[in-house]
Amino acid sequence: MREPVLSVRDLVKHFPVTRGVLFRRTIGHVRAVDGVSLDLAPGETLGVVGESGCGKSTLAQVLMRLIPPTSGTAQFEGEDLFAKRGAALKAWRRDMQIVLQDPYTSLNPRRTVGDIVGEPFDIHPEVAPKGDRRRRVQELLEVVGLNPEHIRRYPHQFSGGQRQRIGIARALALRPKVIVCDEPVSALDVSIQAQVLNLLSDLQREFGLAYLFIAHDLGVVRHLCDRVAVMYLGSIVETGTAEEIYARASHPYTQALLSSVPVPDPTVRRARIRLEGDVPSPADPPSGCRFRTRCPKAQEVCAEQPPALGLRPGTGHATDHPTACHFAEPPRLVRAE
Amino acid sequence: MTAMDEHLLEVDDLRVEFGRGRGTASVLNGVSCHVDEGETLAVLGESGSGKSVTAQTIMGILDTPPGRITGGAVRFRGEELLGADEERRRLLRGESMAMIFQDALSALNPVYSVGFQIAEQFRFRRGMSRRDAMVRAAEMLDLVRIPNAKQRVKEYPHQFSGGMRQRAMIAMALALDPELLIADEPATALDVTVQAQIMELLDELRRERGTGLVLITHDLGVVAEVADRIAVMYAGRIVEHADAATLYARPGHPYTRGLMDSVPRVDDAGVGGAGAVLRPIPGLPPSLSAIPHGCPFHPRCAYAQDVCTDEVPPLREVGAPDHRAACHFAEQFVAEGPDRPATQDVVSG
Repeated sequence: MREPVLSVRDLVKHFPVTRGVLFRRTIGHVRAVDGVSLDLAPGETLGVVGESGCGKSTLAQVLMRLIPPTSGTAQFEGEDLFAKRGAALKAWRRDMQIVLQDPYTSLNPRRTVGDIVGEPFDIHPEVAPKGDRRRRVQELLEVVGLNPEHIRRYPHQFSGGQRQRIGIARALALRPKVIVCDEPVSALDVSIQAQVLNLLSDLQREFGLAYLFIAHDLGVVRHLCDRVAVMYLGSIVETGTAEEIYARASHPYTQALLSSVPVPDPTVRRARIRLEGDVPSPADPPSGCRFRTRCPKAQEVCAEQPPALGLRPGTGHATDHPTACHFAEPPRLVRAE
Repeated sequence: MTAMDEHLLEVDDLRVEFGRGRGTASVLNGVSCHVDEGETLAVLGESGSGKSVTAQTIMGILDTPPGRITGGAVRFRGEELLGADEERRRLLRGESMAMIFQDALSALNPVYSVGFQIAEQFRFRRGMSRRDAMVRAAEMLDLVRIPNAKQRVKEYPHQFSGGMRQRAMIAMALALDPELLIADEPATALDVTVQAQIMELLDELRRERGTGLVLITHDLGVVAEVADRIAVMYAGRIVEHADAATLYARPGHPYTRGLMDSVPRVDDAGVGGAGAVLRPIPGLPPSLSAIPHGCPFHPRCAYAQDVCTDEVPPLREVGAPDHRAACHFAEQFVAEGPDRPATQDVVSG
């Protein structure tokens, strides 16, 4: 793999749970992100999938330096991301931008599209001289498929899909190297969602962007991503190329997740791995393997030893990509047509 | 009394408007469909297509005003409901037809225990004592596979997880054993693994009890797995209707086909792995207060001709029995099958 643009090691983010008003004391921690390592190469798309509460959005916020990490390191082009302060931090923000999930709350309703998309230039005036801004904003609107004439309109005059395009234009303004996409299409209808997904892949080709693509929709992730990391309760349970994950998933959680997704074709009948119950609370995760409470393969060792994320030689079922399960094995079934 | 061709539920040319004057939104523009015992009709559509308003009108819980039913009929076992008085409708709700909502947290009352809310129906409709009704409520929770139902029955909605709340709502809807169940996006807000559990549960209960199910959803995957028949809605109309196998194999309406080409599939490698490219439908759904003249889909349709801007295509039989589509060129699309032709001017002339 090429030199990664973003490299994360053992990232941990715990939120304290407190009780009392006057005498606040910490009674526990929500382990939102609990030891995540990943690498993102320039120009590639890394998908992070998982169900709600698995910590994928917290991961995005920590990597954007919106909230401080509890521990762990991250390097952006070889420099320590969490050590950046002042001017260095501000300069770095040009290189990494975020597109948020909800196009209704992520745009200021009282500012025009021109103001919203042009705001990055106010903060980083060195990128575009003042006289040039209007032209730059109109260019950006055109790049994301909006009418450049609409620069004076307000967010409420646009549909959901168009608003998401405005958010993308804003993220593109400073020509970043990495864009974190936090569920960018999950609030959109299918026909509009497809438009935005195609836009994201066009932009990637045009500007050589790397995406950290956070989503819960496995179809969307497969469509867009080169590599995929599957998260469960704050940690990555399996990672590999899209092909490795979707065709040869070896962690029982990934297998169950994939088998739960309905396929829009009534002639395809897949065997479904049924998971019982709900995801445990991240404030009180199970001992050992976090998935063991819902895992059909769980045995005693799973409660005692947390399985490390890695290749598993010597289990009789060596996998070709890292997986965090004591009993990882390639899927037995594929499909019955 | 019951004719042979009488359906469990029949909706005939239903029309609903919102607002008055120039800003009147035509939300339903002649919706017709039917459901029989034990079968699943899926109503598929994007936001604003009118699927939830259809459900609310059938249940008699449409807010009027701002809504206004301007025409059509809803018949339950032959009995006309739109003209019936509120007393009669109340009696039918719960007893004969029940509804499951998308957002269980706002559909359940936060200040009463889950069991109490289910038990109410047994107390007021079956005249049971409080204690007996609670026992029955626990049985219902057990039926929808809530673990530890006897203890859980006394808990409040906020103590339940999202999936369990949805189960509790299903229990509530099924309490009086209705013949018709309307589920409005029953699993949309849930994670995939939980979504699969809920859809499986609904399907099983429908089969065991012979309930007619109207499943309202935007998810083409869910529809493919559980629906017997599918009605695709666009701008307040049903634009295509067929059994599941026919609809997915030979869609007759360009909108249906566009939807299928828009979904990134988990079993397709996508752009990252040289799989299919998404072919989205261009443009946006129309505003319901300014639905385009002629075919409402024509501004977004790659195959639109002059006739499409002039005439509203009626929903008519195209080929297979019970396969209906509202497109002037439906026969050609059906004949071509699911693979979209490479060029855009296939239907010229």
